Amino acid sequence: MSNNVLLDVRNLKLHFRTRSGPVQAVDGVSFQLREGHTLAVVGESGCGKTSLAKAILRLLPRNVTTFSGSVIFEGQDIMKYDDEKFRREIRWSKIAMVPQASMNSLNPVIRIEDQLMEPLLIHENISKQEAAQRVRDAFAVVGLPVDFLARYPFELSGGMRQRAAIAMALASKPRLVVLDEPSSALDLLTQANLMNVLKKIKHEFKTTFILITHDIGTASELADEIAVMYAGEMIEYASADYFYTDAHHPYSQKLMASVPTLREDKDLAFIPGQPPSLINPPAGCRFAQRCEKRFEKCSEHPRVTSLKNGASVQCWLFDEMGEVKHA
Amino acid sequence: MPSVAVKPKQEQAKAKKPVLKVEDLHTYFEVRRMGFFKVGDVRALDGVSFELYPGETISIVGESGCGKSTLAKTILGIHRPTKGKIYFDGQDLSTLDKDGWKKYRSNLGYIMQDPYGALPPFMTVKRILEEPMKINGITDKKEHAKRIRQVLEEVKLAPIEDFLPKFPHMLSGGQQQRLVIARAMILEPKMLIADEPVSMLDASVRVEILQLLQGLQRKHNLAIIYITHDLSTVRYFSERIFTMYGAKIIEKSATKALLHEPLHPYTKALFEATSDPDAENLKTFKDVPAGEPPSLMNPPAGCRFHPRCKYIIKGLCDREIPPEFAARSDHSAACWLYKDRA
Ligand SMILES: Nc1ncnc2c1ncn2[C@@H]1O[C@H](COP(=O)(O)OP(=O)(O)OP(=O)(O)O)[C@@H](O)[C@H]1O
Ligand SMILES: Nc1ncnc2c1ncn2[C@@H]1O[C@H](COP(=O)(O)OP(=O)(O)OP(=O)(O)O)[C@@H](O)[C@H]1O
Ligand code: SF4
Ligand SMILES: [Mg+2]
Ligand SMILES: [Mg+2]
Repeated sequence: MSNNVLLDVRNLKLHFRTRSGPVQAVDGVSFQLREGHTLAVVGESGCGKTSLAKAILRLLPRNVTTFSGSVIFEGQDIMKYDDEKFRREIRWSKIAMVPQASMNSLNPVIRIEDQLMEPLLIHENISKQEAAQRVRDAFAVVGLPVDFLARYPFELSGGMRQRAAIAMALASKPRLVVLDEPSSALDLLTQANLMNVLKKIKHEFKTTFILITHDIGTASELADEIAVMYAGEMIEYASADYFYTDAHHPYSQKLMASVPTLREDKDLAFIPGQPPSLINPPAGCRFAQRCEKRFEKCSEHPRVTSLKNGASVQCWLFDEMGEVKHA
Repeated sequence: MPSVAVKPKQEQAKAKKPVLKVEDLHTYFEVRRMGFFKVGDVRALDGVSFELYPGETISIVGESGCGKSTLAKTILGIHRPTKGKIYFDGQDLSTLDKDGWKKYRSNLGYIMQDPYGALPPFMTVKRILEEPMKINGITDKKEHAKRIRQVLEEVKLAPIEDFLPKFPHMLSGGQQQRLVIARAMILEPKMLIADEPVSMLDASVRVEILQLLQGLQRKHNLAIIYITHDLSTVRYFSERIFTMYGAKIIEKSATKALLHEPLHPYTKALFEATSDPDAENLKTFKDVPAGEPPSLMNPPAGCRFHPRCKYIIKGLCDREIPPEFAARSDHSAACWLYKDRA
């Protein structure tokens, strides 16, 4: 694997307008992702995972109030591109997304082959034959029989439709694929088969993935790095090796302690309370109210600290242990 | 921090009489074309037998469509069994009259699978909890207030006065689920059926709800049927685990014995497919069968798992339905591999 940074996100913000005030769904998120690596973004429902993906791919709803920061991809700040250029040069062709519940997003009455070819014909200057070949290749990669291409989505099981949605994202040969909860709606065995497929793609084609999931166990099947989001912020970013044995942030530690394990008998613990509202979140650390380790300093907004092991943590406990990255 | 411990309570439970006994239970749904011609049956439950003891939890695991909810709903009397018997406290349910059914239902708490559809949106917490009492002829207002206070305390929706006038949409997912549990407990049932009570909730809340159920069980000596597709929660929560596949129970085991060694190839595959959080997972592929669960209209002959099974004994597994073989006193599997171990 190369050490090239493929994606460098800096201070990304995405806020939505609502009647009660702006929702700070993504609020100052920064991270880097190296080529060929997989970053798993984990966190509880509503913490901003899907919004982060939408911000990177610029798939924005109408009620956006703030959309700022930089997204440096292959060395270019693609936030500076206008919508037309972004659509032509980035979305699908370079960065593709498999949206949440995408197994249900295929049009049930259009043949799968036609649906998969459409983005290729729109976004890439290739012939119909070439597009058809690419789609066949992608189908083989995700382990679907090629004759299924002639079928309609309703004729396929949920697991097969999910593979078709992934094939659609792969067909344009993007350098980065964002997978939003690709397996959560699937049965256990189907889910395990799908993770095998993704792992194979990762190894064989060195595809870079962002895997969004609330399932920390499944994330470990694919992740080189783990990012934990809480209330719109990325409060920890660490290599999977460190994260799964010694998560840093108090929230990450609690989250890990709440995950039941099949093979090991551990004391389970839950996190009392609830995450804060994303409308007017607390000015200090957003986890402070539920944190057993909070101290005076926590009423101020914590800075992001880079640790020697490569992890970044947004927590005052780490402020003096590493090098402060930014406020 | 609160924590759950594994607690083998089975021996002590075994000495008692079962609160529930299910014998060769079948539930079929007719499938009609154009609402008219009968084209066949969905055999959603196809010959299930077991006993449940007071104070015991049985977990039922299995994938979507294998018949878990149908089992729950048949026990609850929502579906009438096509064949087979259900006994509650020794009484055959098919002999009950209307009042008998009412009494039976009041002894049975039910937590439905879909928590969002479970609560009526236009009722306050107070009314939601009063309804089951009114239906069951408890009219004394003082008794209402007393029981409501008690269940809300038990499910930790406090301060109680703040919650009473609230509507479901004002509660978080975890709080809604606690309200559902409170409602299931208000008639002081002997038995609780919890159908995927935590699968829609975040990990950090799941444990809280499961611990709550466990606390209630100990306090009231409740018998619980816990239905889930998530194997990783069962070790913390149950004395016995049943695996369902294709409308049948294919493995029955004490929790410890199953965690030590799952017997049925399907249960083995479920274990293999479950990912514990561990960075090592990145390095290996999972050895899980491809394919889909069987059709319940035309199930495969013999063992229903045979088309996906890597241990298949040709000529046997694809022809004869495997009976339940008891490999150990606390562990049985409906699989031909164990015919000589029984
Ligand atoms: N278009 C929108 N307008 C207003 N609020 C929104 C919009 N989209 C998302 N939100 C809010 O932003 C927050 C983050 O939502 P997001 O969908 O990113 O969460 P998530 O982490 O993906 O959750 P889940 O795990 O449930 O998918 C939530 O509070 C959500 O209600
Ligand atoms: N009322 C009904 N009429 C016809 N078929 C039904 C009915 N209820 C359930 N089924 C079918 O019976 C089978 C078993 O369904 P059931 O809901 O019991 O599965 P389950 O194990 O609870 O699945 P899940 O994990 O998805 O909740 C399925 O094939 C389902 O489609
Ligand atoms: S009975 Fe045969 S086919 Fe069925 S699980 Fe056992 S070995 Fe496999
Ligand atoms: Mg999401
Ligand atoms: Mg069900």
